[in-house]
Amino acid sequence: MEFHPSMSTLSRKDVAHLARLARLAVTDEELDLYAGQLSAVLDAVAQVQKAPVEDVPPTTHAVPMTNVFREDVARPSLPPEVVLAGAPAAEDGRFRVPRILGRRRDDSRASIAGSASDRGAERGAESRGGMA
Amino acid sequence: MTTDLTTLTVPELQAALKDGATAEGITRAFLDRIAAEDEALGAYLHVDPAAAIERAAAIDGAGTAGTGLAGIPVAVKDVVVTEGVPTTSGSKILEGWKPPYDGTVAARLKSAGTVLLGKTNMDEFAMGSSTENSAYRVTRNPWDPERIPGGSSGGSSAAVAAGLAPWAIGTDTGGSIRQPAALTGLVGHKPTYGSVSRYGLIAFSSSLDQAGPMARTVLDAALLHEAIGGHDPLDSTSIDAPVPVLAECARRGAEGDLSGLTVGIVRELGGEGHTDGYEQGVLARVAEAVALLESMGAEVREVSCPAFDLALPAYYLIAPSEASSNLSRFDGVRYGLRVGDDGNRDLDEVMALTREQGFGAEVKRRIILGTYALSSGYYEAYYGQAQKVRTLISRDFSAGFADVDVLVSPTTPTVAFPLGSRVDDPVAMYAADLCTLPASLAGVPAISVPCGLSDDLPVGFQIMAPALADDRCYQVAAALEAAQDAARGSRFLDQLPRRDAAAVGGAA
Repeated sequence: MEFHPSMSTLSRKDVAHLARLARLAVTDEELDLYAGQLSAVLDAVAQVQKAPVEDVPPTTHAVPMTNVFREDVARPSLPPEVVLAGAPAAEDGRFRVPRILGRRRDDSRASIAGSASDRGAERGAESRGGMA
Repeated sequence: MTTDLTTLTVPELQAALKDGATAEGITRAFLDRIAAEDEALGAYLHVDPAAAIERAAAIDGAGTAGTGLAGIPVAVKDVVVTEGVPTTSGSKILEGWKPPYDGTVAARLKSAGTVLLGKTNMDEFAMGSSTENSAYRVTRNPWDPERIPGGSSGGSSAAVAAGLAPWAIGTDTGGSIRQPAALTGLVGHKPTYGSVSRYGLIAFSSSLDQAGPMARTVLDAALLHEAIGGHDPLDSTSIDAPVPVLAECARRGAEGDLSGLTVGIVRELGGEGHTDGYEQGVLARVAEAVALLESMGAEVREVSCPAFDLALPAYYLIAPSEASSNLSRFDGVRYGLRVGDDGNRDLDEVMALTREQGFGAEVKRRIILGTYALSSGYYEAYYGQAQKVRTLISRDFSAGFADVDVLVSPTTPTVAFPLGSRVDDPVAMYAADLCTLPASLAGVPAISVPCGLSDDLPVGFQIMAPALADDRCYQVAAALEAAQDAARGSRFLDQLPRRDAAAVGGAA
């Protein structure tokens, strides 16, 4: 990891890094707010470290189950047009996605400045394959 | 004087249907109240009166109204996907989305012949304890419009308490059925994890999420639970066991004989040395409820569950961690919002802008916290440690249930707090779930039943039972409800319209 917060503290920089990992283009104001709030939350949750858990196995699930099988029988799926009806953009019977290869910025986090101006335009772009 | 259909219990509605009332008439009665009152109350996110009336009329036409649940209206929390009916989970990222299928809970209600009144408001993705995290609107508590209705199923609790639905579906991850039920004077039950299908619930924390009933009475809750419960092959965590018999247990419990039952009061949830943050009025009502159980023949003793002290920190690591993973599906590709797709930005940028604009503050906080708790170098200290605490909590339950049949506590440490009073302090907000979190983490069933008023606001009494012993929750809750109703001379919720009527009369 490139960030090394002391236990129970998250700096602005840490939050920015975590937000980038989680694909959240947070604003400067949010960084200020979350750094403070999340440090308080971390303080509270860090209490788990006091628990006497030597030799205690972790619980991942309240009802332990493994290998839940069903009969290997084909079932009808939803028709493609029904699935694509809810997509923000579709083309040729498929989900249309933004470019995934090519130019890459040093900072992969999207610029905040761009977001506001896109808000209105976005809704109109539905299923037409973008505005180019 | 004509009967107000919106104050009836479900068995009373069933009797009315057999006695000449129509599903359409009942549905219209609720729709009229929604039209008149929901602008101020804020319980619903989506209501389609024409569709509801058409559905009710079809059930009247089929002649099935009054058999089983046919013709009984129901409100459903907006976290349950409903085919062709807008479903948002309280989030802008899903605004306008119409799911292409029904979740199992919705499908079972539909096949039982119920009439969908609408989708109820909630904290965004069920993350919250006050419904103030809804991206759409504020929901008010019918007992005091300046206070929260609880959360995250606050739209469901407000709708039922105010008579805008006879009953409703909620979901509970850390208390989101029980806490809003307690704060609005309802009965709310979180079933044993795995006993009600999660198929078609928009996932928040998959190892904890569970749907359940919110209702005016214990018997109503049991009837609704029976309608939605049971094994579902579409949910691989679903328990392959028969639908439990619950309504019968509620009826038997109402007879008031608890001899042979042992009740354990959890010391760590409001008992001696653990009263910090608990209101005196809440503790007094809970003590009275325990005394009432004792008077009906129950043997009462104190039980210590030391690991419960760590339920809150463990929960607020496990739930955000699972959420940070679950919510990665909202990437602006297959459904919902997409922001910034101008032909120049790449997928990562569009994703980050979409999620930034589509998610609210609490959701972002939890995603960031969960991302942190799961990151290498911190995983063991936070997430791994929390999972071990989860084991300790389950062990405390097992040890407790070796001695007693049910464990009891307040449902919430306080009565409903004022709107806005905790929104800027996540840690204070999280404390609202203090008493409900242990049962969530252990996957055991727990019910909240009203046990009186404090400061003129409802107080909830929580009854927890071993896994798959949901019937015990209903039995004990029904006994308590019946004894209190008998002493009061009316049902708990009947106090609310009566009080409001008196206030209007007094002001005139």
